[in-house]
Amino acid sequence: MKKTEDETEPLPRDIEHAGWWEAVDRARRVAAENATDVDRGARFPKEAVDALRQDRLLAAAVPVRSGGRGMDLSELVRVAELLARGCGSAAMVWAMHQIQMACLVRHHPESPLLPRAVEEQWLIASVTSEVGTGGDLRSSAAGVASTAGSPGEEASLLKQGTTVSYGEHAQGYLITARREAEADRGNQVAVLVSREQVNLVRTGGWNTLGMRGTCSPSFDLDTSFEYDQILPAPFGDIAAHTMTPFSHVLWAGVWVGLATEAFQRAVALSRKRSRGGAVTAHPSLALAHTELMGARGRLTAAVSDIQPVLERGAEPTVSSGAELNALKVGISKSVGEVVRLSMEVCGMAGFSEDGPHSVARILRDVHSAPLMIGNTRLLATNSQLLLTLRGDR
Amino acid sequence: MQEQIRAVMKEFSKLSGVAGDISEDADLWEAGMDSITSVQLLLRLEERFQTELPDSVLTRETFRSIGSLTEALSAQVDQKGSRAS
Repeated sequence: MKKTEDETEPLPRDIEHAGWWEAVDRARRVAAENATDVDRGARFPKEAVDALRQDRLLAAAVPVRSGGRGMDLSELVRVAELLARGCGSAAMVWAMHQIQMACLVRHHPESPLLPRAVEEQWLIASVTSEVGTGGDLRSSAAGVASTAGSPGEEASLLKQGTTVSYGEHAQGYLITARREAEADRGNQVAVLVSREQVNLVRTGGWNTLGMRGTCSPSFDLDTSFEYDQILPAPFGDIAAHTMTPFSHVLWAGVWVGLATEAFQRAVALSRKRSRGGAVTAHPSLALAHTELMGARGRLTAAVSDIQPVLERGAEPTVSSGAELNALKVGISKSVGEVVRLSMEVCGMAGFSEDGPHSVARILRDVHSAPLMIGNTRLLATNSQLLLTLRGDR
Repeated sequence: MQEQIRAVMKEFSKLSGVAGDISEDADLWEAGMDSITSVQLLLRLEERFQTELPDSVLTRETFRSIGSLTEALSAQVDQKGSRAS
């Protein structure tokens, strides 16, 4: 019987990660079974997220003592990769959610909503980009307004979010804003609000080339909340210590997973073609492998380099920030090349949207990589940051 | 040194409004500092004090306030002075 794209083989097991392997592999299979439908319909990968929720994998980044799975960054990256083998959108939704979770557990463990978010396995969306500031994470137009008679109790916020991934499917929102309306655009806070605290109005559509299941249109959010829902640390610190490193590394995990899947499809087809006699290997297969190994090595090194910041509280330096930016730019380019080469190997079978050797959806999905925090912006930033390098790296 | 730092800060649009009056402990990141401004400020301060801060000191904490900048620059200038003597 001809195998379709939806049918998936079990992946080789990581022995050292036995504690969560089965659960992740279950979610990966569910994601793979629905990947084509999610992509075609540009619909939320509900089945995969439900599977992740059922196995408490939405609390992967939450410490065990707080009811989570207590995964460290290298484990989270591995999970992102594995999920992306099944469905890029499902993996990206999971990865983005873990970034918000990491910000919360690391910077506001006393958050009044966190126990509920863990217990009920919330999916938390990020609302950072905004009309007027675009994709600049470190700048906000909307500001927190005090609404109560006595200052410091209740607050409100009205924000026009431009790209709110899975906004309609989230149970919580981590929103950035100016500390108060008159504050400088860079003087930001982040606040976690629940779905029932938000009046959510969809203002745009989501019909994109790839990553269609992330369902990331624009929304207006009108929310009221208690002041203690605001993360106490300035958002700039949260971004430098957690959000930026987690984003770059977990997104890279998703992209490497997508590239690996494309490459494995090319290997599978090459093997099939070589059955029954002469081995027929396309040179692009080896080139794809070379690129993929480079991306993997880069990602592993980045996870290792960022450990002192994440685990020992070391201060991120200008050079470590520049290296994270370089990681994002480098991997987002490499994975595109891996998938393109894999399609060359697969030929028409890869170009087709159907069948076990299709690379089409994956190719469309990885085209998002250079755009998520645009490479152009990161390169422009790095060109300035590099002026401070002292020559020891 | 603090007055000299304030004078250099006045050259940057994001900081010129606060450079004269902000207290030495006040948070510059909340007052308008951003990463690009911090890099430009660093280069001007290094030129002004004829010194170079090591990579390990180039953190958000160093640029947090006039006080923390003074501390980082003084340490480097002192070290240079003691090496020269």
